Amino acid sequence: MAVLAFQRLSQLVTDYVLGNSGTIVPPASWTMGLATTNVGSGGGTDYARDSVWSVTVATTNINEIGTTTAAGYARQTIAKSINQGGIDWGTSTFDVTFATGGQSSAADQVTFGAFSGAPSPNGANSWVITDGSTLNAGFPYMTGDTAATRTFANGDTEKVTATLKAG
Amino acid sequence: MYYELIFEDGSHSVACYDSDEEAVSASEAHHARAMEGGRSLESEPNSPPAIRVAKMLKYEDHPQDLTQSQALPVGEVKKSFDAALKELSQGDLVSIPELTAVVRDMTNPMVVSGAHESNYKAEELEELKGAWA
Repeated sequence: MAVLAFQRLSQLVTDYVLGNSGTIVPPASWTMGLATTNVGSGGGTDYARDSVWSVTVATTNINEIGTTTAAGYARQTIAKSINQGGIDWGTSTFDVTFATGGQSSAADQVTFGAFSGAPSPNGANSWVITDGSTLNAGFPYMTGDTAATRTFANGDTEKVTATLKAG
Repeated sequence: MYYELIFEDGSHSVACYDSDEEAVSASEAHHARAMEGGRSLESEPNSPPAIRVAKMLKYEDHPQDLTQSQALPVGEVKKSFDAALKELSQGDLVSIPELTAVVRDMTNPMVVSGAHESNYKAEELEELKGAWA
């Protein structure tokens, strides 16, 4: 799976963790959205590290599904806690393997839907950890691809488990 | 309007529909699929099984919005802070990181709940009934 951490995530480390900033702070809770954008690998139509949510489909912009017709789509909440029950983050682990290791944490699985029909836009190619519930808005923090395009129809649900791994 | 779907296996989702009728119809379609042993995503034969719906709650706004501004009434903060200070104090000392974690958690919009109870602090408008009830 291709995963990308955006600049806002590392800015939280530099400003909030290292510098105790009172303005660059984490949100009250995390939310997960689904986007039509491919994660890719830095190509012209792929995500960039400074990608933003936008209704305008253009290079480096992230376009969320369901913005014209929700049809049951909404962002899902992940609490800012570790193993407290409900939907939050798991205990982090550390793998010392030089080439492939790193510190990682997986969130509990979230469920989207049930969809009442085809959302517009439809076709999720990536999930995005972001903030807020307003579609195509908020800071993107990290993204991962959905392995295959997920196209939704009446009665469908989609389950996603996010993992962040850092060297 | 927003709707919290609570499934039999204890998983939850929040969905946005234009009407109660749309909400119930979509959830009944998923519930029926689960009763027939179908998949969660019909176009993906390898997707997880569909799960029976246990409960549906209706909200005016997305229930995670309750604390999104990260601003809370002073009286509420003081009450929670004083309780945390009392609980965490050891003699004349209190751990600032532990106290800070409690303060940060005041804006958590979620609660630790039973498998078939709401995941959110926000009050629902009503519970909707469907074929699952």
